[in-house]
Amino acid sequence: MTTAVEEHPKVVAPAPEPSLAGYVAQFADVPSLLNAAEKTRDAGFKSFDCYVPFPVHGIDEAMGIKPSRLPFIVLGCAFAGATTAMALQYLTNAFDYQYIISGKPMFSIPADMPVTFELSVLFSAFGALLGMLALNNLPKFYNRIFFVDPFQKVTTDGFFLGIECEDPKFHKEDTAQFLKALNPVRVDECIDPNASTALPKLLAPLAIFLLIVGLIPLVLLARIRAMPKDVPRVEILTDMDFQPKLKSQRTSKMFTDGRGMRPIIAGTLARGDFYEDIPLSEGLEADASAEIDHSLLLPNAKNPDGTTVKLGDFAWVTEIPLDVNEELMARGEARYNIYCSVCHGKTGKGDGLVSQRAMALQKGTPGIGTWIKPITLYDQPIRDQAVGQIFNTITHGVRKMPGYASQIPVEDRWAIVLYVRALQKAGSATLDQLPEEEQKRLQADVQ
Amino acid sequence: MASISIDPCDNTLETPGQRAALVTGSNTYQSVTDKVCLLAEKPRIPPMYFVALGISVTWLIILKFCIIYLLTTGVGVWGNMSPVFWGWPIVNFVFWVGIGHAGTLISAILFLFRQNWRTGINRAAEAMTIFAVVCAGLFPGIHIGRVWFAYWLFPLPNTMLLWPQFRSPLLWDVFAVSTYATVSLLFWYMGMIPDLATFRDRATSRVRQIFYGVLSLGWTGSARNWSRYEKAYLLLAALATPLVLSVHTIVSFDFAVSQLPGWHTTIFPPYFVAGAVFSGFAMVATLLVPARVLCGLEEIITIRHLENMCKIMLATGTIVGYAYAMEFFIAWYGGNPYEQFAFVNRAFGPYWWAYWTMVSCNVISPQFFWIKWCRTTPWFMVIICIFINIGMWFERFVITVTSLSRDFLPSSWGYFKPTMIDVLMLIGSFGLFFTLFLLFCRFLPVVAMAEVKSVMPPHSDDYPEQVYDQVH
Repeated sequence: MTTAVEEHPKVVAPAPEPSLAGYVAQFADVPSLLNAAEKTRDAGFKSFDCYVPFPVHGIDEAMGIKPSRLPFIVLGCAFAGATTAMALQYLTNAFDYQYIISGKPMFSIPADMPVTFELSVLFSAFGALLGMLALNNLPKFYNRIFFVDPFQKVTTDGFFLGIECEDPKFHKEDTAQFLKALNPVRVDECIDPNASTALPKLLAPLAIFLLIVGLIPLVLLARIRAMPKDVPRVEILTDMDFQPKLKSQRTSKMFTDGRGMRPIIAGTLARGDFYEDIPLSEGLEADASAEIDHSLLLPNAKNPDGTTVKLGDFAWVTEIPLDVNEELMARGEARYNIYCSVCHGKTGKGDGLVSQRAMALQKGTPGIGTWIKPITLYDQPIRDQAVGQIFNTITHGVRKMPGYASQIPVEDRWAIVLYVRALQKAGSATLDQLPEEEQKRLQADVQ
Repeated sequence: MASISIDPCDNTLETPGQRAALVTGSNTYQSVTDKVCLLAEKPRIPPMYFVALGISVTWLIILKFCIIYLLTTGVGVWGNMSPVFWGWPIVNFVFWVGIGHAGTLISAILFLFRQNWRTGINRAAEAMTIFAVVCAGLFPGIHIGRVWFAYWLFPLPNTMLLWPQFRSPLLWDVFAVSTYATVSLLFWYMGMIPDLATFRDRATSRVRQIFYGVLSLGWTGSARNWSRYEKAYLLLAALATPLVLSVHTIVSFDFAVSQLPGWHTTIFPPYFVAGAVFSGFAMVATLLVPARVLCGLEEIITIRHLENMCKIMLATGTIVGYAYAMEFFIAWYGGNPYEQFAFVNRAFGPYWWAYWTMVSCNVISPQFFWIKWCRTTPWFMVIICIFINIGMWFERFVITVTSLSRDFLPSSWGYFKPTMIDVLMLIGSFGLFFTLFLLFCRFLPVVAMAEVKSVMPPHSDDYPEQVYDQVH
């Protein structure tokens, strides 16, 4: 029983001397143990316990063990579980995120019962296990009774009764005599080696060190994910960010011509693109449209003889083929400010933010940039263009400007043409064209 | 009766006025411990163990590769295709969850009913439950496609300001299955604490002492501890009993709450629970018949234990057969033409082969257990149990696939075909299950030693001087 002390002299050396912690008596079987337990209880001992390999019926009465408080702990846990579940379901589904399902109520007790039941059981189960362990002072890895030599048999077939020295009635000789009188197989002293139960000193720093080292990869990952970068971030889980699909301007092996983007099939129209009214949809006079090759309307088109197409020569419509009114003008202004003003500027002067930025980037490094400043919309050549040609420019683009046919519906394009006309009028207006009141106000402002 | 010669190891005879011994042979507390600890402490493991483990681990690795393939490619590697979007993954999920019902039923319900024979088999059955729930949890987990978002199943605050829909049975399922897994684990672990302490006290190496010492939490067998322990065990049993019944009830709600003919029936909850107990006991018997030989536990897991399990299988199998018949009756009596079509289609439609496999395995095969020879012959029992497991898998297949493949719109009808990945993953899940069970047999107490000792009579061989009459 004192072998543990002899094996670890280093541990014991600075600690107090081993001391008697109590007596442990081994009994042959259950009846003799029960008998001994009753006698010990009747003798007035309080700090004593029986140790058995399996639960023995009648030992609670023999030892005078009071019923446990555990059921109340478990009941409390069950209520806590039910309340948590109800509150969770109310707060999430009936309060924070209301979502109507087939007109059913947001909060209905029957539909909430399954989760309420499950959480009640879950909380109670934890209450039962953890409550039992807490009431039993477990886990307790260091126990002086483990140093008693035959005590290892307790989990196989040993029946023990131990009286601890903390009991007020404990007496070194008398208690030993008392136990021997109970007809045990043997009685052993329980010697508390008083070995230090403190954890090794290096354990805490080591644990902290390992924790920090273990966190490094996570911190690095977080850093990679969160810090601003010039190149695309590392994707740990790509989700659906990268999918096999054809994007515009990409090649594809699927088609013999190798192009990912497909030309419009001859004789077909996209849904919603069919207009019987040619002047409205193309900006050309109907009979002229039937005769010309439409590819000549695209930006930078060449005639068959190699000369640049003069768009001004076509038979453009000269009147906007829609009812021109205040509403159309307002629509045009809104669409212009959305689609056009970023380059052309809100006044049509060609000083939009994109243009300003592009010019600033090109400045000082001639030859790099290919940006062409948008033409001022109220320059004379543009003012001379027919509305049909301006419409065509918006539709198909010109020079660097891409066509907007896919983004702006036909009616909206005409609205923009109308607004461009208004900008041209405003941009090229002279003082005497203004109403008299305006003239006076402006002159007052200048002075 | 007196003329029958009684084999001392045969405890299947019913002797009036006397309870049959639950531990046969001349076993003492010491010998029970020795036998249970044998496989865990043996320096030389039987080669059969390694053969079994090798096969299981091989299938586990195949499962792992299938999962990696699935995750990197997408759920299109399965046969799930319009209109059957709930294919094998859900079939396998319900199958494994069902198997997971026997353990807690044996531990909890039989405990409350004071069925002492449960002590021999409850530990292994609980372990089986947990491993079956692991297999079950795998399938819905990978079925969601993007596994790294599996935590969306739980009500966690998020930047999208979304919450799960608590009126959906699929969410009830999340709570039911996760609660069941957790409570089963707690129950299993708590039951093992005294036996882990036995392992600790018998450990000869430092590693084993620390491993089992930590797991047994410093258990001393103190009577004061036992008193609270038993109270906790009783409470857990009382909690786990309705829990067992709730889990497969809620799984059946996944089907029953929907509007699909063949699924939308009120009979589902009790019918699913009976089927779950049925398949669970079949799996326990399938595992224990070889395991009791492998671990040398014939005297602790006796023929009587196996016979009792057969009786439960006979009872639950008959309930399941009644439910199959009742489904047809309800379809006819209810007068709903869609439901009538769904059931006629089940038995005589394109999946007739699956339906009749199910009926012959689940309804006909357990009827052999009316005969005592069939109940007490282990090898025959295993054959029947394997048929029952096949039948119960087909039951879930029939319910899931036949109803989905013939929905309301005839133009969308289709025939479900599994892919090779489906098949490999089903077999692979058995690899996972058996690997876990074999590791359990090797490293943890297979039998609840403390509980077995509490139901065996004290033995006079141990302490010759003592008189034992007073205990009886």
